[in-house]
Amino acid sequence: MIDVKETDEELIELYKASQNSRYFDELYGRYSNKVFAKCISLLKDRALAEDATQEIFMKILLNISKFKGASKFSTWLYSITYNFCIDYIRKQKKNRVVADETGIADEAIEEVSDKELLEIKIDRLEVIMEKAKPNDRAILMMKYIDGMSIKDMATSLNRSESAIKMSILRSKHRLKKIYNELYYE
Amino acid sequence: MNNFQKLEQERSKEYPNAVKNVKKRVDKTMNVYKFVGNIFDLYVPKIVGFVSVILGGDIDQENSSKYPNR
Repeated sequence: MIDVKETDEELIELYKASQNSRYFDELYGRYSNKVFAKCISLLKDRALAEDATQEIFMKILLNISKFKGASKFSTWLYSITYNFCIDYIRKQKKNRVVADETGIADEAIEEVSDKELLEIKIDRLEVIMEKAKPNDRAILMMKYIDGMSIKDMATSLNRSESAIKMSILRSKHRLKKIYNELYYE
Repeated sequence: MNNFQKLEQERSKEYPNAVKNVKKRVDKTMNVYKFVGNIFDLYVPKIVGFVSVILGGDIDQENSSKYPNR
């Protein structure tokens, strides 16, 4: 029986030392629902989300020796999750023009406060998140669901902190724009 | 808990068996990896030894003395 007080990092150390799968099982129990929910939010397909969740946990298992505890385990796991899903979507779109950062270049970006987005009702939020671009969804999920810092997001996505700040600004703006188009026009 | 977090929680509840299915697949894949690893550990040293003998190398002197009764 695993002591429920054991932190993720302690479980990893125990797993590394013993290779006993029950420690991994405990981590899987703690995070698999969250990872799957992120995958299905980004990939929008149950089968793909299951495959992605499997691949992500296999990556975790095979690279667990590389985890040195520089960040929280959850941050590391979610980084792998977001990168996996974003890479998958990017590969699917490779023959199309990806209008991510460029699509808004000529448009003025209106700063949207966190409060405005956090006050959106959950049923409406579900609709507008579905309509948002995958990259925007990922950025907003990192910020509002996982509470990741700018620094962690930059490390996870291999981008500069200023690029992340700009992405957040744009993602919030685009989400609010979708909201206004759907509910106020 | 904010609405983004609630939405994620609701989403994960929509597919109650998904993570169980995935866990079975992860375990199965890990078992295959372990099996292959065990085979590797067991046979590769023997194959390496065999190949080195074929190529004219000698068997490890410490483990196989020419005069074991001395």
